[in-house]
Amino acid sequence: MNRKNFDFDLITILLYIGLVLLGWMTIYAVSSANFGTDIFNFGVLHGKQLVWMGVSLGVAMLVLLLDHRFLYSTAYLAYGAAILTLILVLFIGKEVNGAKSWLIIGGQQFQPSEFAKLATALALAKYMSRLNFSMSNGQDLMAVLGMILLPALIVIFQNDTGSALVFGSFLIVLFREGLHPLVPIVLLLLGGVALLSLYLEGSVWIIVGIMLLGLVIFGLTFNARRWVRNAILIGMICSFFSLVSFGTNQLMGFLQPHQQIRLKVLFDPSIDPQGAGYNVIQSKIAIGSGGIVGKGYLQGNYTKYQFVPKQETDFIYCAVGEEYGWLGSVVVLLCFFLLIWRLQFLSENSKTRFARIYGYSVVSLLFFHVVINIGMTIGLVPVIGIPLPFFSYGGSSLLSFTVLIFVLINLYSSRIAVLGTKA
Amino acid sequence: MDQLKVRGGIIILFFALVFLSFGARLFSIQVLSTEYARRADKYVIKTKSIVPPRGNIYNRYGEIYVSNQPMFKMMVTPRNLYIPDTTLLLKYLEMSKEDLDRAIAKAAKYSSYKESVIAQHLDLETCGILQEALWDARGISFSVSNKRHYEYPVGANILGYISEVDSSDIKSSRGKYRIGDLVGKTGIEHSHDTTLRGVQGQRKILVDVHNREVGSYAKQRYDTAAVKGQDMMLGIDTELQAFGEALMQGKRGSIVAIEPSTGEILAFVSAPTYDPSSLTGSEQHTNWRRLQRDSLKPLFNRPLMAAYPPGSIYKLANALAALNEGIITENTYYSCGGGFSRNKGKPGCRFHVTPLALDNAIKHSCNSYFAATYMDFLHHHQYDSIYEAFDVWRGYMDRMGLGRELGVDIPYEKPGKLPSGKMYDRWYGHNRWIATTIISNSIGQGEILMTPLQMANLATLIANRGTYVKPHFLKAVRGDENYWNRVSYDTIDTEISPYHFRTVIDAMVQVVASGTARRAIIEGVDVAGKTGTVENPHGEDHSVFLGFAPAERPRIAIAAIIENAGGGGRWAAPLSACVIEKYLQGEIVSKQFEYNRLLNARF
Repeated sequence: MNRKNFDFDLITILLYIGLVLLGWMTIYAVSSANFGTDIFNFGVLHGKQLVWMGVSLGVAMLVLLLDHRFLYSTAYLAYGAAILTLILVLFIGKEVNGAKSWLIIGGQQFQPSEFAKLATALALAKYMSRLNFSMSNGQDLMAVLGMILLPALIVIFQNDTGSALVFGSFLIVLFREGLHPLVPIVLLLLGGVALLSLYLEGSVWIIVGIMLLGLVIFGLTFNARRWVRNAILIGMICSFFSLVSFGTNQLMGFLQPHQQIRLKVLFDPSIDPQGAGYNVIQSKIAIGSGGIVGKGYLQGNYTKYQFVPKQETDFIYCAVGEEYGWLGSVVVLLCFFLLIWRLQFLSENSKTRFARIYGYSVVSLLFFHVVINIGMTIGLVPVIGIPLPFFSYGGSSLLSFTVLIFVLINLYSSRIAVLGTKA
Repeated sequence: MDQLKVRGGIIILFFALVFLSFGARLFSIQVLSTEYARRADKYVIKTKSIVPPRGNIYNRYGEIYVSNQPMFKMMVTPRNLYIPDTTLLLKYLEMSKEDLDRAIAKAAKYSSYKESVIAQHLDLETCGILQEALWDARGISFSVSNKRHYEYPVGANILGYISEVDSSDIKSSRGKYRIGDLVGKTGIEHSHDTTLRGVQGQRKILVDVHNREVGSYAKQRYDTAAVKGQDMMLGIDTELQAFGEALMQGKRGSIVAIEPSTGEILAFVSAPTYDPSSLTGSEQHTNWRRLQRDSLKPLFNRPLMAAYPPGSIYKLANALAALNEGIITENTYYSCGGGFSRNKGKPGCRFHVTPLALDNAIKHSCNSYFAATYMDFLHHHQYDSIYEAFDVWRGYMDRMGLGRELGVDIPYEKPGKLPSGKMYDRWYGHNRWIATTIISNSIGQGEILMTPLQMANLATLIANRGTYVKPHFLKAVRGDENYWNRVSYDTIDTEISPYHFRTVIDAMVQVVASGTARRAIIEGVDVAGKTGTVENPHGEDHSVFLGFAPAERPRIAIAAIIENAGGGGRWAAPLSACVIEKYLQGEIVSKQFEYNRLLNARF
């Protein structure tokens, strides 16, 4: 801790500050229309968010002051604490919007699943940076998957499926650390086939298409000596995909009704214009009405007058789209991408595996949140209730991403020190 | 490990692709599509109409006849509702606490954000008291609209009433009316609706998701002001109208009085009638249904829509046509032997001097004389055939306003009936009918039907010696604050020489002075008139009178018909005289006896 110079990554910090300020401006645009224009009214959304920004700033500085070794050594402890808290929430949590995922501490609501992301990222980094860790080792892989799935499962039990899905983003980390590339490819294909089946409502043409594709691949990879083995392999794979396609609509039955509808309205919001489709329709109208340059700051009638439900939290990107237009929306997208890119750069250039793996966790979490959130507002992704980092109103999310990012900044700044195994 | 470092690049590439596709998607919905912008405007910007007050209606003397009365609605916004003390509210709304709670619950069920009406038709005074009493309440508002107020509660059949437009009105108006607009349904309110209603203003407002108004749009740049409806003056003498309606109490029939020089309708009584204010305000629908079910049909505008055989008053029209065609002169004598001898004594006649000329024929209403005239007309050698003669005769009747709508400025006028040669051909066959076949026409009992308005118009054109101005109600439209623009109307010439009218009018004066209408004598005024006793299949004869006064410079022409009352000289003549005296003298002087007798008569 005896650094002479401030050697934290400035680009990341500037992008972070930029996004937080943009986010607050947008919250103000939505909030001031309904709660008055007094910026320092701490009783209303934009005022409260200002407080949370102050708190985040303090916490960010604290995080930078921490010794990176402390983070390393307490990673498992944090993970354990997070799991215990998550379980605790199952019993004494407060229910908001159907999800029992909130804890009230000193009058403030707090979402332990946010903390669990950080803890999981740290624990994962610590475990995977062990000397003899290998992705191809079955035991290690199982342990890693377990570490990811455990908190996700508990969060599902809290009925907060959106937050649970976030843990799926760790797949990107595993891929980076040597997971067989077929796994994400197969998963993506499965997802694609499932969505297509939902879209076409289980048309037999999908199965025909899969079979034809199998034949083409078989022809391309034809090997006179191994053709029987190849045929069986490709046949099995095709059958599996066909089964998935066939079973998707049956599997829908296992989902909760509101989740089924959310999936279906992705393709056609008009099937439930007053319910699940409503938010998607309204959100697209708000964003779409922005035009190229937008209606101007504080001029977005559609968001100002509350036509989009949850516009200060999950659907805040609507205000961005309406008031800043296409140019502004793209600038916001670009800022997010630059931040993610920079964080990936920091991770790649960390000297320790611990820092790199942790860094990729942050990158993946951030990417997942941004893509799922913005994707749902423009109708590309089913409605999943997760916030847009730095933009959505709420302390937990802001604080959580602040800590996630500043821990990485801290780890990167101490890259001279050698900890764990060298990359 | 380098192999894995490549994966970092793959990941970033993948991220970049996702972000790029998002940018493209945004471009497609924000820039390429205008549908979203259009829908956003549709949901946020609403147009509110500002309804201007309707124009007032004045009587012929420029006194206010129909005006607007502010009417208040009380509305609640359940979400903000807070009433500290409901005692006064309940007292003035005449509601029980339970009623109020139920109304509020109903409003809340509809919407807790939007205003719901919980009390309608409050007058200014009540509204003032309530506003004062509810000074510390929240979530309550009042809105004002207008209802018609009648200074003279008469002439319901002239004025018509106002009601919300129905779907057929909206469809036929080609965008002029929208749901909720008030529109004149019949009468003046209907025919002059465009003038009276003014021009609605428009306000573009912004609303939030709960449809609450949150502000004006584009600094009111697209707003337009409402233009108040124009005031109009009618030719109606409201006092005379009231007088006539009072006289017709307990009777069925009509009185139509016209100022001959202008064609302005002075009185237009339809009996039985109703109070025009009963079709305003909260009771409109109940009252309308009650009137609709009434077997005496008070909503039936008799002067305009009821077609009667005219009876003997029609002899005047026949005489004028025959005189002008030279079929008869004032010195043409016919004999009468108690019936039309050339047609086996039909139609029959009463005892009077014989032979007789036109003056006595009119005075005694001799059926034989007019039957002979009609027969000579139709069989005259100056025409090639009875068809030509009939068409000539028909042409006179048409010019005198029979068998067609006169075009008065209130709706649903009926044309009466004027038979045609073709019609008789259908009935009897071509060349299978002659004058005696249709001889009843000569005395107004055949196929001819006239509305009371047409009868009054006949009186008018006789009073005017051959011309009449299209009968009308609208006299003038208010231009500036104190300036009335008179409306001009066509004058129609019957193409009958004024010379022939002298004969007829002289005879009509004799009718009143010493003929069948002696009960119509007014001291100091020469009244010209003709009675009619109309046989009809519905019972007792209809009592009819047609006339004008003073005979030399007529100021009022009148036709009256009292259904099933009996002889024309007995009821319709004195009734018309009362109306004439009232109009000319301003009060009943010489007709006091008849007036009292008429008031108490019931048919």
